[in-house]
Amino acid sequence: MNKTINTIVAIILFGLFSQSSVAEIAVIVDLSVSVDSVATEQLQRLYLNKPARLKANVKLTPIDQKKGSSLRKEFTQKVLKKTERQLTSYWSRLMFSGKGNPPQQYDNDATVLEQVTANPGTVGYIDSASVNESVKVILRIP
Amino acid sequence: MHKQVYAAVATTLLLSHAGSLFAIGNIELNGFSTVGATISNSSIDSQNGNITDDVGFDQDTRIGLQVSADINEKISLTAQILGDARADSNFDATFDWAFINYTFSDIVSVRGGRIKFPTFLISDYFEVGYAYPWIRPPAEVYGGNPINVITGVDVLLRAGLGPVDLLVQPYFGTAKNEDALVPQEALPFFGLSPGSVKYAEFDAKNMAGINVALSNEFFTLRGGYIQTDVSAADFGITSSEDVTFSSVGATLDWHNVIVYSEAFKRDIDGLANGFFPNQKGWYGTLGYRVNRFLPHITYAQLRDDSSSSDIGMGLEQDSLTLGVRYELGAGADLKVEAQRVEPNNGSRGLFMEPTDDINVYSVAVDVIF
Repeated sequence: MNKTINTIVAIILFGLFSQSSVAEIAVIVDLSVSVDSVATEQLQRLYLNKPARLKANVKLTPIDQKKGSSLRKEFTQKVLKKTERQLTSYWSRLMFSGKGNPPQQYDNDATVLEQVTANPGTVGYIDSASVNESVKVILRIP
Repeated sequence: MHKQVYAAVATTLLLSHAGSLFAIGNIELNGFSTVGATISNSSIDSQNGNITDDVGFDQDTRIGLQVSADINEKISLTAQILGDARADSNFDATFDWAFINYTFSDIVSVRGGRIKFPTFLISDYFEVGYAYPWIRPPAEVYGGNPINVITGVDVLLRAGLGPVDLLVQPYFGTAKNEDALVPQEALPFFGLSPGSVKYAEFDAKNMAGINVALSNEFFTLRGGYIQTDVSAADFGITSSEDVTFSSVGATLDWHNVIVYSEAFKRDIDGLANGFFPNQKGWYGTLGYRVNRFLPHITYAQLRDDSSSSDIGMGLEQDSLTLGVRYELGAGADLKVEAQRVEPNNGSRGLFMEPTDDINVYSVAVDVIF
């Protein structure tokens, strides 16, 4: 009985800490993409549907992590310089005036990796611990 | 847009997908809704009959659904259906937007079809209550142009100019069977009771406009100009009369300080001026965000800007609005407002008849999904 409670407490604590711990974010593209690095500002513009001033003939399509996930909160704050609520409001103005839709959201690092490798030209972000050799890291956000 | 869709919607749409309410392949469904109640302290109703001294839901309650589909890399299609009870209580759905977009590059795109054009700062998302602080944008300005949708084309030209982004948006099109309120005195042959108003149907042709906006992370500054030819067969105005519309506006969202301010001027030539007066108006809104609360105050003014050839009583008024917006988590808010409306001496303002000052109280919930 006590053991069970201890286990539950341990799981809850683990959950709390892993939620709040700050991960290094890796911005990734497929190996075939001809871009090796991107500036935070370019990434911000790309994710906010503004002309991103990338090098000529490179077109990147951003994808997002699931709303409410700790990684998305961190990315939204550090790169987009907004809270998730401000971001929701920003997209509501663009979307409902027919000026663009927000990046598609994916559930976790594994599905983001899958999308990035399956669709060259897609840019995503994951916890840098999840990076593998199938993708190229173009920016690390500590 | 977000996943905390209301239970009823969520259970009926189990296909719900991350990123939007519903997405299969290249088709996305999103939406917005407002449920709002109003009551005033006067027996004199608002001109559209929706704000009275009984609790009413017709003024602000509405729902919009937007479908967008990527046809290929360059072409996409967007349609928005709006159901509201403002013009009649049947809650009929209409297409507010329905256009095909062609993206030449991330700098140039062209849209053709049914387009909501930006007379003002938030004209093109006027129905999306969640996207702005008030329950309804100030009527003294937003009522100035009774047309908000054209059938035609527009071009979105975007450029980054160092720290700011420039949007240049020319548009061209027509609008048919639009309604505008006309004072009874201007319509002697209709035999209406003194002081009342009537919806007049009119057409706008050759509407050419431009919207120019400069923005960065925390401000937007815009200006616009529209020119169109208006005719109203019901009143014998068969030749087209020139109407022009100029507007400027700015908004700021900086360190929890929220500012909105806009001004406009409407000029109408010839015979039509007797029915639709020249007008000018402005408003200013100041708010300060405290956590989930956004208390705000708005002063707004509408004036006739007319020549002596005008017939009819003015539609002039001032108003002071105090409101609070409260965030109910991402994608939903609750708003409460108290508004003091003062029709200018002898004018009916935006009410049915000339009246003393009127208080209007409103509450609304906005969601997007």
